[in-house]
Amino acid sequence: MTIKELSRGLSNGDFSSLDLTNYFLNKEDDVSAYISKLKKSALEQAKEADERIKSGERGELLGIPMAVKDNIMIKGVKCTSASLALKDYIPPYDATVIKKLKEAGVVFLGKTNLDEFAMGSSTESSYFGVTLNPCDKTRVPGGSSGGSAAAVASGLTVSALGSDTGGSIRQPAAFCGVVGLKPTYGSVSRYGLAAMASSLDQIGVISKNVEDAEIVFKSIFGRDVMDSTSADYSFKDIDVNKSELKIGIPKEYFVDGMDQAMKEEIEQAIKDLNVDVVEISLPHTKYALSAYYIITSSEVSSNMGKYDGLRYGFSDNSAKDLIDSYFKNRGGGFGKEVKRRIILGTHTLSAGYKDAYYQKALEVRHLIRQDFLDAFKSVDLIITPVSPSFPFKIGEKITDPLEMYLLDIFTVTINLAGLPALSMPCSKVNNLPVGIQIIGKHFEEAKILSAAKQFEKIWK
Amino acid sequence: MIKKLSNLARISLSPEEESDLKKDIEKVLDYVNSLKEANISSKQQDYFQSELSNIFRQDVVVEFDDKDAIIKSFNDKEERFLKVKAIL
Repeated sequence: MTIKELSRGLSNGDFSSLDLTNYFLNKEDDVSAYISKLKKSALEQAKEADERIKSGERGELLGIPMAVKDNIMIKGVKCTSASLALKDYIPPYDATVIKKLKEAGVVFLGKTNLDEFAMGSSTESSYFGVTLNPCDKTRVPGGSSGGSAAAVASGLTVSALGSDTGGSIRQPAAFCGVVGLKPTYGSVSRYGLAAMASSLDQIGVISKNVEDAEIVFKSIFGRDVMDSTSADYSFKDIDVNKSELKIGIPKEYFVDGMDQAMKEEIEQAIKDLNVDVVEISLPHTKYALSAYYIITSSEVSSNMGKYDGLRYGFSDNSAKDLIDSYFKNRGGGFGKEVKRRIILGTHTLSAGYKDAYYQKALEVRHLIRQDFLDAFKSVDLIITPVSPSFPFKIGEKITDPLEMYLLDIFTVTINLAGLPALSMPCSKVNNLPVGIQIIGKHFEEAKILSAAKQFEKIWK
Repeated sequence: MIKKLSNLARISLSPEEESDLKKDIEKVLDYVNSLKEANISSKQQDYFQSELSNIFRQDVVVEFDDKDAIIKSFNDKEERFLKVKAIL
C-alpha cells in the first residue's frame, strides 16, 4: 500500500497507526535493511498519532510509519552513520526534517543501513554488514542509502528518508526498483544530517511511487535558520501537460561502456512516453566524475575533522597524549573507504596542490552547471539513465575503488549543479529493475513530480 | 606521501593500510588528472565568484536545552568538564 492509501485507511478508521506500526515492526528483515528498529518509541508515536486522528485531526503523514537513514539525527536515538567511530553515539537533538515529520505525526520505525558515513555506492562498506537487494539477494541494493531503498522495496516500510551527495538516493532506488527524489540543493535543511560534502549533500525521500515522494517532500522542504544554505522556497503544485513538454536527452549520457541491455530499455522507455524529445549536449560531462571526487574528498576531509573521539565516539584509551588520541581514535574508528577519501581530500587541499585540484574542480563544476542552465533554456526536463549497470553481485566491485566511483557517472553531475532529480523504475530485465532519471531546473520539483506521475502510468 | 597526509589528517595507519592507500590514491589521482584539459576563461571565473553571497542572521545567544545529553557522551569526564590526555 502507498502513503495515500494508508492515510485514507487511517482517516476512515479501517485500521489504526498502532496496527500499521506493529505490522511493519513485526515483519522479518531478511535483507538486513535496518541497523536498529525503534520498537518502544514507534509504538508510543503510533498511539499519539491515533489520539490525534481520534480527535478529528487529519494530515497526509499523520500516523504513517517511515524509516530513516542512520546518518540523520533523531534525539535520544543512536545514530551510527554505519561506522565504528559512532557505534554508540546518541545525538542530543533532532534533525530539522525529523522535527517537521514529528509535527506531521510520522512514526519512526527504525534507522536504516548505509555505506559508512554515506561514502559508497553499494552499502557494502557499512560497519554493520551488507544490506541485500530484495530483487535478488545475491546482489547489492546500491548505496549509500541502500538500507532505505531495500526497506521500501521489501515492504518493511512505506517510505524512508535518505541522503544524496553523488547519487546516494537515486542509485539505490534504481537498483531496488523504487522511487527516489533528490531535491534541489538548499530546498531541504541539512541540519541534523551527518555532513559528508556540505556543498553537495541533500536529504531526500525514497518511496513506492511518485505521489508518495511528493507527499513527503512537501513536509520536509523549507528555509531553516540552523542551515544557512537552505533556501526560502515555496512549492506550488502544477499540472504539466505532457503534450507540451520538451524533453532533452544528453548524448554524453548514452555512451559505450554502459550496459547494452540497460541502454536499450531506457531508449525504449523514452519512446513509449510519446513526448517531444530533442538531443542536447552537456559537453563538460566528461570532467564530472573527476570534479566530483576532488570536491567530495576535499569537503569530506574537512567535515571528518570533527571526529576526534573526545566529546563522543570511538576512543582508544591507550593513547599517550592528546595528539596520540587523535591518531588512535580516528585511525581506529574509521573504515577503509572513509580513510581513503580523507587522505585523498587532505592531498587535494594541501599547499601546492590546492589550485591544481580543488580550485580547478570548482571551476569545472561551474562549467557543468552552466551546461545544464544552457540546456534548460530550450527543454523543460532532461531524462537520462541512473546507472551504467544493473545491480551487481555482492563483493564484485568493492575491491576496486575506482571501478566503484565510475558507477556514479550519471548521478554526480546533478549534485554538482545543485539540480533536483527523481529516479524511478521504467522496466525490468530478468527481474532486475531499470531506473530512469528525470532532471529539472533548480526548485522545479513540482514540474518533475507532475511529469513523473504521468510517466509512471505509462511505464507501469 | 601517504605518511605526510596521514599526519596532517591525524589518522594512524598500519603499514599495510599505507601501501594499499598509496595504490588506490595514485589510481584515483591518475584519473582525476584529466581535469587539466578543461579550459576556464577568466571571464567565467569572475562570473562564478560573483554568484555567491553570504547569508547572515542576528547574533543572538540561545541556550541549548539539553547540556546533560552532550556531557553524557564525553568519553572521559570530571564533573561537567571534558577530560583529555596531556596536551604538553
